[in-house]
Amino acid sequence: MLSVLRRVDRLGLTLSLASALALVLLPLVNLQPNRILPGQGVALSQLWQQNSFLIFLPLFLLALLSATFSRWLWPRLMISAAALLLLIIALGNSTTLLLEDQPPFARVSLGSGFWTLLLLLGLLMTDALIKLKMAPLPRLALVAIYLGAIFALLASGLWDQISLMLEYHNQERFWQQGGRHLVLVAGSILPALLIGVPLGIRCHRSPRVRAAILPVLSLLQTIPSLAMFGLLMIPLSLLATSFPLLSEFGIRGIGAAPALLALFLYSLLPIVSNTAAGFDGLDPAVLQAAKGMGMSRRQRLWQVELPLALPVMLSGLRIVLTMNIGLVAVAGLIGGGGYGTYIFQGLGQTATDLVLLGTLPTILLAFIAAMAIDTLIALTQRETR
Amino acid sequence: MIELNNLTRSFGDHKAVDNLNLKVETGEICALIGTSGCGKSTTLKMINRLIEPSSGTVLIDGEDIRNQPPEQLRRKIGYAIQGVGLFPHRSVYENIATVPRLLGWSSEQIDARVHELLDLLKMDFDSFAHRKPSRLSGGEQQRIGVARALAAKPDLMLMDEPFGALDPLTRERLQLELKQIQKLLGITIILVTHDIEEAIRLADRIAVMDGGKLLQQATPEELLRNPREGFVSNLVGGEERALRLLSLRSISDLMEPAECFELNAATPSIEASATLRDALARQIWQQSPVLRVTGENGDTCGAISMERLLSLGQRPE
Amino acid sequence: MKFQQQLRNWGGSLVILCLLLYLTLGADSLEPLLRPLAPENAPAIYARNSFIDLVGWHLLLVLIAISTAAVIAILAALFVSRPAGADFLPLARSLANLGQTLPPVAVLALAVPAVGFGSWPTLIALFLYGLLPIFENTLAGLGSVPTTVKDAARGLGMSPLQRFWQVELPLALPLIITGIRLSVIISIGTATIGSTVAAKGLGEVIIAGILTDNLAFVLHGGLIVALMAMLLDGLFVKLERRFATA
Repeated sequence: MLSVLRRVDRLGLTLSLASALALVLLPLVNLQPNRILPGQGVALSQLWQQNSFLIFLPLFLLALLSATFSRWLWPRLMISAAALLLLIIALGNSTTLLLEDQPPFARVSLGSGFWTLLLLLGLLMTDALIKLKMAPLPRLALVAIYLGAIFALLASGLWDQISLMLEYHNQERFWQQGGRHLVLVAGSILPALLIGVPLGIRCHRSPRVRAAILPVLSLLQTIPSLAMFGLLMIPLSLLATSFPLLSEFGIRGIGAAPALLALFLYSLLPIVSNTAAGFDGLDPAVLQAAKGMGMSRRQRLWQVELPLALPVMLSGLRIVLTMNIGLVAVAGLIGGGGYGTYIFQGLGQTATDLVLLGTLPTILLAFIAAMAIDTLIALTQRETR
Repeated sequence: MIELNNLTRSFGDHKAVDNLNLKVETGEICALIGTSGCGKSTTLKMINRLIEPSSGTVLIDGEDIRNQPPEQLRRKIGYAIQGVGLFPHRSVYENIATVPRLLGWSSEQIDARVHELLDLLKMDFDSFAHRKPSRLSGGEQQRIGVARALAAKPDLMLMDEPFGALDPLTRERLQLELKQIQKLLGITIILVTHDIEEAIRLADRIAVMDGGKLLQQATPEELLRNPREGFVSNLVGGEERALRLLSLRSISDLMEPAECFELNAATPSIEASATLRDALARQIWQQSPVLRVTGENGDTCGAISMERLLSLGQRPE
Repeated sequence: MKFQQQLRNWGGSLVILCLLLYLTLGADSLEPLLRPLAPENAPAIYARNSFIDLVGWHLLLVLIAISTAAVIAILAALFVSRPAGADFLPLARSLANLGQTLPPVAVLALAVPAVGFGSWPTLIALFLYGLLPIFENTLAGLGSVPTTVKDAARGLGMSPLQRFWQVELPLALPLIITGIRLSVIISIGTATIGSTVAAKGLGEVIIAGILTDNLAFVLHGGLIVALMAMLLDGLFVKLERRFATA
């Protein structure tokens, strides 16, 4: 008995208990009378008459048991991944049943139980994935395949009766908003890279430049985003009223211009300081050797210094990317476009599904960006090691 | 007296210390010597229960150390390590006061003790006591490390390569000071080192370890004269052993009356407290087979000849 | 000499503080300055709540959220860095890392369906988002204590509790304060956005300005929030320096 207890994975045990409680206590789905009014939780007993739930439940239990007792990581990962997919299928299948004798505006929406399970199963998978210590590229591929599978399920129309997907079908410009979101992110980061990287190198070479520039940039960084957007609106709208021509090009107090400018300013600090830090961390012996072999200044920069400083510079890029993906959402408030538009519209209409339709893609974009850069960092580090 | 009886410590399948037996008399310096990974540090850490033995016992003055809680035990045993481990956020004074405070001494007692220890280590109270460790040189840090270990007047001090990170000059000076302090206080020291010169210079007894096993324990002279074949004789060296043997004795042990030699004003002189190795070096350096030996007050008290030295450093049969 | 040094240390913060006080307490006297930015027939000074109340609410939200977050994050970091919590360490570490990629606005938006409108969702978002930087920095701080120092503390006979209070915590403190500073700065920003979900705070001035095209409101509110963030940032940086060991 004691030896079994000692082999228990405490993390697995905690997450498993929480998952079991969530499944029993929290409603997986709610039945809403219409788009806005809050819904009524659907009890688990109403759901498990469904065949697909009968497959899901044992698999779910197996996932919890393996997380608690098993040190075999692959089965742990696979079983929890399969359990989540089956949950998605089972919920999709149950909607027709639930909506059978309901009025036409009634909707099935995802309940707190589903979100909690999504989070906990996600944690179990993440834990197994970390402990597997896979190489960066295969790991990225695995995550991509899994996300692809979930998207395929959603695209197949399985969830079309669930309110979140109904909301998605209502919004015709969903993918355009996504494109605009990314354009705003890229449009602010590219100029910041073009200016920030050389500036970072200057900071590395001259302490005086560093002392002059870094404090200003970090002061900018402390200004809250909404205040920054607002403060930039003022000069831009004054410009636009004095030179009406400019507003034809989109330089106005409201919209994308202040957002782009603010994001650009925010991006500078991580890029400049990480570039400088990357260059500061170079091994002086390597630089001496490069000099001693007769490499010119330019050759040293491109062939030695930049490649070696790249991992640290990339982690600066990671900060900027994830930060800006979130900040573009805030820019929705001043008419900047992107997924933030849905968030703030949804909050205004108290339409939870619209809020989710803005929030979930934003989070997903940030996660994917972070994982992609992490993979890149791991690859560049492995090469230089 | 410290007794290690059948002491064994395994990490998984690997035996870091294998059935080790060792006795260290009160007031002795005992050096545990060997290459890195030979189990010497593990042995040391079993004495203050930083590591618990897999089997075997440690007795201090006949009492099993497992009879008291580890923290109580450690407060009674001085502990100084390589890299010193001074608390960087505390001043020199507070660092030294650590254990006395743990033991609940009064602030007057602590104050007196810190003064006393800084005096003992020839460090000026006013200029050092309130400095942070980051503002000390390596040698000064190590001195404070020793002072901290000695603060609660332990009868036993454990030292794990305490001088490992220092430059040769500072190391030698600190070794000398340590020896003086140890003689003065009459404490027992168990010292881990990989430096045979250090062991010979400091220790009354040397225990050589390899692969977790104790290969030989002996006085430095015994070890130099009759090392066991293999690891031990490699460790003590081949022909340098002659010089190491000379370094064990002071001139006063071997000098002859000055009248036996014709000394004149040009004869180089050397202090009686210097080692025989120093004497040989000076004879070679000054091209003089005989040296005048002077006492503390500078008066001639004898002479030492190269012949005498040659006979002592002879290869043992 | 000493006075000059003090002035150099505190001068910046003092100027910001004075500006901040003037903008909040002397709001009415700013009317002629801000007039040109406001639309005709619209007030140039926000009047629905007094600025002193708004600053108070804003800071109170941040204070409650971050002090709770700090206590929990430090305890959590302590737990996972001990042998008993070792099972949790890998996940906790990468969660803290991945969690910080979560946009604060997303956390805020998700809190609304959970608890409704008002100050609660903001408080929850501030709390949750405040946890991560403090947790990560506490872990880093505890990890940065040199092994020799920890060994020495053990060898001198300190108990686990004494080692934590007297050695590990003081040495980790500067990094912990850095974490708290980051959390506070992020919180001030997120609390501003919180006004979109009806949290009381300075964000409502800016948002009112954006909605009614009143740049006077936007400038006034924006300046106060920005100065507040700068002031707190500066004060925390000073605190970090004070506790730094070197």
